[in-house]
Amino acid sequence: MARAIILSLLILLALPAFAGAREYAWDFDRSNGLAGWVLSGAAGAVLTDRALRVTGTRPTMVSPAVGFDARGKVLMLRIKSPVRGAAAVGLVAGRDIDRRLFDIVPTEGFRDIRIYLGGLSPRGGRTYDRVVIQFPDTTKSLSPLEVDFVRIDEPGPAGLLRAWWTGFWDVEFIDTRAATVSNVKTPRVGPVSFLTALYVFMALVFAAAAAASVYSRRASQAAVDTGGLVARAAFIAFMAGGALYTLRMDYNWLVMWGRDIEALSGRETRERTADRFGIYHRDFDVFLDFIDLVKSTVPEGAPVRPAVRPPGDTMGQLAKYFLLPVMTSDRARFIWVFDDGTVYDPATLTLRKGLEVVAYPVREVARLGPRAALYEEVDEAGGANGTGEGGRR
Amino acid sequence: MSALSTAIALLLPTGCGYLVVGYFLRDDPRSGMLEKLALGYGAGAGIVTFVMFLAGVAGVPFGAPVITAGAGAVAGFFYYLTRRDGKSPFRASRPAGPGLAGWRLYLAIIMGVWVAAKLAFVFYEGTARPIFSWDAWNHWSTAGKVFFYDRGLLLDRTSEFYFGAGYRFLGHPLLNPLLQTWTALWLGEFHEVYAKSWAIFYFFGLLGTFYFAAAREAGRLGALAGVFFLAGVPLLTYHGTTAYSDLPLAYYGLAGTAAFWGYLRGGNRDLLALAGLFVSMGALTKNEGLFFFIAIGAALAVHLASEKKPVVAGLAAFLIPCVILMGPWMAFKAVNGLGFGHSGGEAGIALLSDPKYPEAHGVHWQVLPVIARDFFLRANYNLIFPFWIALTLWRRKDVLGSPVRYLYVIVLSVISMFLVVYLLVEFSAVTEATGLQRNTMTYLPVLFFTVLVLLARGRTGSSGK
Repeated sequence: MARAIILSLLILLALPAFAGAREYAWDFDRSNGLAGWVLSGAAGAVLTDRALRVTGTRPTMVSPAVGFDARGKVLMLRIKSPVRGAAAVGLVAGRDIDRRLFDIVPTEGFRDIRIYLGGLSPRGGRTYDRVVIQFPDTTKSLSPLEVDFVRIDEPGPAGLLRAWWTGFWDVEFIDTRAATVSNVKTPRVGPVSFLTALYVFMALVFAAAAAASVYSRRASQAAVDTGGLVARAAFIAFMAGGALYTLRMDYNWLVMWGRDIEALSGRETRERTADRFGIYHRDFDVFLDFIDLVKSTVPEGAPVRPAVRPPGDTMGQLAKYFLLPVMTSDRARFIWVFDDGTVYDPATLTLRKGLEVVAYPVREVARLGPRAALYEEVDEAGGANGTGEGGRR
Repeated sequence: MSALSTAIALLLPTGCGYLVVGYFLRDDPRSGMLEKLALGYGAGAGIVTFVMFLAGVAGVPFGAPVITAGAGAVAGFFYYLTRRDGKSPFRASRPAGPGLAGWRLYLAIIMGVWVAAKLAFVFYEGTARPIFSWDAWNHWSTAGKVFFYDRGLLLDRTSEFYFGAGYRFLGHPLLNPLLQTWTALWLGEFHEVYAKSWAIFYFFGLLGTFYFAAAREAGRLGALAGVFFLAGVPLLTYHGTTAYSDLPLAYYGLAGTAAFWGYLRGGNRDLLALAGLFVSMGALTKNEGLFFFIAIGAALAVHLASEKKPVVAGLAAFLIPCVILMGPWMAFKAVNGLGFGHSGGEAGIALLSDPKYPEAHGVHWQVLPVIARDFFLRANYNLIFPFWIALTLWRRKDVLGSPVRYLYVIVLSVISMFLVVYLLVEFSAVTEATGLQRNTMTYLPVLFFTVLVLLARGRTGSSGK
């Protein structure tokens, strides 16, 4: 009886750790509708009895204006995704947006994602107006991505710790962006950076090591060498901190390894290339087919140029790389077009983008689907004008 | 077949470099075959690309046989010199201290397995991922591809693509692109995965070089611990899988420093020449490689002057390989006005007086707090910076009173030169996080080595000279 009372008291005492306040909650279904959210980048959106189903290249959801302090808040998201990819959550304050990436993995059923919002702001706690959530491209999947609900909670200590813990192991920087090769994103332990937490951990190890050393010296009645003791304890603290750092940061590579074995093993080089560069264009495999078409069509030594892409355009740069040995030159008479809104009018031999005439007179030399084609500058009569410079390789 | 061709493309330079390094280490009984292999890989890669550069300038079309013959001649010459002295490059080393037992053995096994897993990861990623990172396909690999398809350096002055114009930053050194060209020559195609496979072995070579150099100072367990923490630096690992030039530069910086340290410990001038060879290859990898050349040169000059050693002989031993290796490239740059910036002739320093970029003028003090935050609060470098500072304060007398001070001259010189560049020119490399971490990565192995040497001196109780 006494044990039952004590147990009940303990449970009562522990309850506040799990209790939390719900600040905002949005359920998406037929009865609630989109509840004031705005959807963009979605090719399709359907509300079912259970959830919102979306497809699109980058489906993005923008919350109604609410206004909340991010400190101590956790965003909880229940979704079912058919695809793996990087998603992003952004907090909007006026014209500023603080964002972070998070991973989405395909699941059979709905899965909860918790993100500690206090960790998003580099300036600490801050009041935000809206939440923006961006999902990965789902257009290549047969199923849509489903969103059951979005909540902003202020959980109790246990809930907060849980969000911090999952956030700490988040491998958001492992994607295919160049940032990975230039710098590594520092994990966060709730509101502080991993290294700040590591310094606290090292201070504790230092204190423990120093105390253990003093105790053992006293037990053996040996004189305490303060300098040596401090050096030894500091060394142990640094080694422990360094090992913990290595463990955490190498965990990233472990996750990447698993993911890449799944994504790359057993696939042709071309498929792997399309997989990696898919972040620049969702039909990168088609882009590579088009590159092959251009390479096999233009005469040997003849250079090419894009119709409208400016020098810094990523797809233009990628074409330049993959087109080799075909060189790219501003003076080329062969002009390529890939998914850039350029339209060809064979009656007038004109290549247009909107109202602007991009090239005239040109004739179509090769085509791959409705959005990719190769043209050649011709004379007014429709023959090749032969004025193009031969690109030297 | 592709794997075999890639293996040949990697093994040939390794063998060539092994024989060259074997000559310089012929009188060093502490260096064994594995260490020479780790050093030989980078030396061979440097020699092959040096031969390619000379062939390109001379108008000799690139081909695997002709480049192999050139590099083979260099290797044969050094092998002849070694044998002439009655030595052999194929000789086992003396063990670096007693074997491990008890908890030390278990700790070594844990760290060894961890590092082996890291090597397996890098090998897998390096042989599975296609060329993808931005600067790789946008500069280094595209240059390698252009040279491969041209079978030369495109040195036709009438061409708009002169020396790869439009496809690469003309003032950037050629080791990385030419290594990709070399691999492609053996493969018979520019393979999007295997063309950059050499990066994997720079990572392996760097860890191997570090281990063997550190084991002589700190014993096997200390060296393994150093490798464990160094390999934990995330960017180093990642760069082992991609076609950037920062990892090769980190390798050459460490190899040059380790050779210089070997000279300081034993007085063997051949090691000075080896240091010169490696720093020159660093300068043929990235323009920042010149920082290591200047830093080690400065440390050597201070050493020779303060220790009353023969200055001319010492400097000559270091500088002769530098002149031979760096000379042609620097002369080529000067003749063609290539500069050190991102384009032909225009160095970043030109921005300082360009009225179009008023934001670039003056001293950019704003980089200092960004750098401080990056060194101490971000997760790019393990805990080496706070540890280094704590250790330096603790062991300051040993730093000043022992040869470790020359390692400090190297580290502080390189950091200072980067700092000057950030403060005066490339401030965006810091504020936009595009270069700071990669730059820092290039001298991090030298910093780890310096720290380990200092720690080991405390452990063994040795101080002074």
